[in-house]
Amino acid sequence: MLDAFLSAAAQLFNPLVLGAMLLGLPLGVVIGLLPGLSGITAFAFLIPFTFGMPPLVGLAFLLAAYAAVSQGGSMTAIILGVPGEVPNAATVIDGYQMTKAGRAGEAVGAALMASALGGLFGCVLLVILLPIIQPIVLSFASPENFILALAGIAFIAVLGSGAPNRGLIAGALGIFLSLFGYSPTEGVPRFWMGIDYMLDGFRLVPLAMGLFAMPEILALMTTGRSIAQPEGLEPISLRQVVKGGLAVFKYPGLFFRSCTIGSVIGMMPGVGGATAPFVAYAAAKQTAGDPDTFGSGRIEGVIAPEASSNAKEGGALVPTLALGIPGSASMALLLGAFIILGLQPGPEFLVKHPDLAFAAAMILAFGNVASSLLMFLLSKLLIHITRVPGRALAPILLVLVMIGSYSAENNPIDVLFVFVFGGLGVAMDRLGYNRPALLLGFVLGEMIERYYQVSVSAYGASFLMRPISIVIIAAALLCLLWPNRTRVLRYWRYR
Amino acid sequence: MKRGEAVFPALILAFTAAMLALGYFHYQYSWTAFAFPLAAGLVVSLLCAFEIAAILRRPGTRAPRAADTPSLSLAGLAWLFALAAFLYALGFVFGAALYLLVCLRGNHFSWRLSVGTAVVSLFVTWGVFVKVLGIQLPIKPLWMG
Repeated sequence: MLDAFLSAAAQLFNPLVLGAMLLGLPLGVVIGLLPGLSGITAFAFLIPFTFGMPPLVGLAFLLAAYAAVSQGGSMTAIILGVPGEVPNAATVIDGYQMTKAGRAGEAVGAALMASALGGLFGCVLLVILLPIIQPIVLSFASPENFILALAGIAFIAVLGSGAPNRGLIAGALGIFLSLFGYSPTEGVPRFWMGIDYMLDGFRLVPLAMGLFAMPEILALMTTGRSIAQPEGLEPISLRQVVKGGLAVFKYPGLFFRSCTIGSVIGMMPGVGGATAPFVAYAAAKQTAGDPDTFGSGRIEGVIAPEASSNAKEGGALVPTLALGIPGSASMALLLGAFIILGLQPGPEFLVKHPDLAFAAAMILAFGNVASSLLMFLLSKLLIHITRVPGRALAPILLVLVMIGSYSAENNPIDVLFVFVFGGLGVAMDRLGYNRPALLLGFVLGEMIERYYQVSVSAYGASFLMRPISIVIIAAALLCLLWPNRTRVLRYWRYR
Repeated sequence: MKRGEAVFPALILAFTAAMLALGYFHYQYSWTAFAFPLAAGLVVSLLCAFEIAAILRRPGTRAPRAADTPSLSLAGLAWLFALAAFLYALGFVFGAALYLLVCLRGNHFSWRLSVGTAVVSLFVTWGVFVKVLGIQLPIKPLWMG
């Protein structure tokens, strides 16, 4: 393991890898600054650029950009009250109040420091857990992986939105769509309708771009408004930023608790994304002496969600790399990127490529710290991107999406499918269906089928009755029912 | 509004059912190849049926919506789909540049911004994608094969 760790560290100093990280960082910052464009959109935009790159260079590019996205999102959350992505919404509550009170610099400083250190915490945890988790992971057979993958989709479908049934429809539809094309076990082309393109089924890149980028582009094109309306923008002074950064060290208990919450939630397949910062914020509020003052501009209300938000990324990489099951929707797309780069995350990955696993953790740590520094340097300048009128930004983004999706396989039909899935994405967005659940279902669908076939062949119909399987099913049911326990108990008593 | 909301799950239900019928009656897949898609499709269909029933049973209220989304405008949609026409008619390099020029001018942006963006687009598609990354973007119009 030590050899793998040292080898990973040495590989990071390769000029190509360093160059890819330095290229990914500003791109991630720019995407993060555009509200609505999240880590998942960053992957959707950037994955096509990694075609032909060596695996580590591609990973460096994607993970550095991904680490930077969250920083950009917290900037707009604090300064404009507009969260860059869903996890940044928790930062708005107190961060924007601080801006209105003329303490924007302090809030930005606290957010950048908490994010950088939180990201480091998550990555250190990842490095520590990877060797420990390997024997546990190897005790998992096909039935357990089958149940874990299904539970991951159920988690994101049920907990990810206010309409659990619509989330489940999205997740199940994602699985169904992934089954088009050649069957993994028999090689029979399924539902191909006589169209050659469909022999390989639907493709990941057009699906991701259609579902996530197209609704945002259509909204910009329709309203014509710039993404942010920066009324009353306060200037940021260096003194304020430093003061805010140092405030993180005044609350070590809050910081470590938030990081732990972020990492643990990040490790749970499917739950990661939006949940962690809100849970950390709630914990900070519950444990404060005067919880009623939260929401009026408390710096702890910025530190807690920012620390947990970045710590969860290291945690989310644990199941992604060790089990091949994404810890969040963004990780689902990263899983797709791994496959595109010729790597197959899972138990075998840790045995075959331990150096790449450690390198991924180090890149994420570097990305977190470097993007905080970059954001600090560019904070005043980059905010102006959010003021670009929607009708100017939308066509530029649209052209990038189309060229990116064509580049994935040099196939113009992919461009057509971006529009098709774009229509699906717009409908799902407007009707409150969970788009990440559909994507997660699509990414995991083929794997679920393979695990199912192997489980049935090896263990028969009783494969669900293995002890570890029963424990996982019980834990998953508990996690799914716990948030709705009052409703369930009321129904039970009523009966 | 309630009926409008029910259209989406109804369309998903119809699509899934049509695909399953195609697999069973037309392609006649073996049980091994068809079992899992059948199970997934049945789950989708059942959930959609449940959703449609829930929507129709709900007394006059609207279902939860993901976010406050603006209403769709025909002009916005037309600009969106116009790109497909430009790419088909003029290829990816020149089509994308001309689309940006026309779209920005059509939305009353200055000539300087429109032409500048089109030139940058040419640089990115030709210079970065074709020359640096070696991606063979179609330079000729797509209808020319």
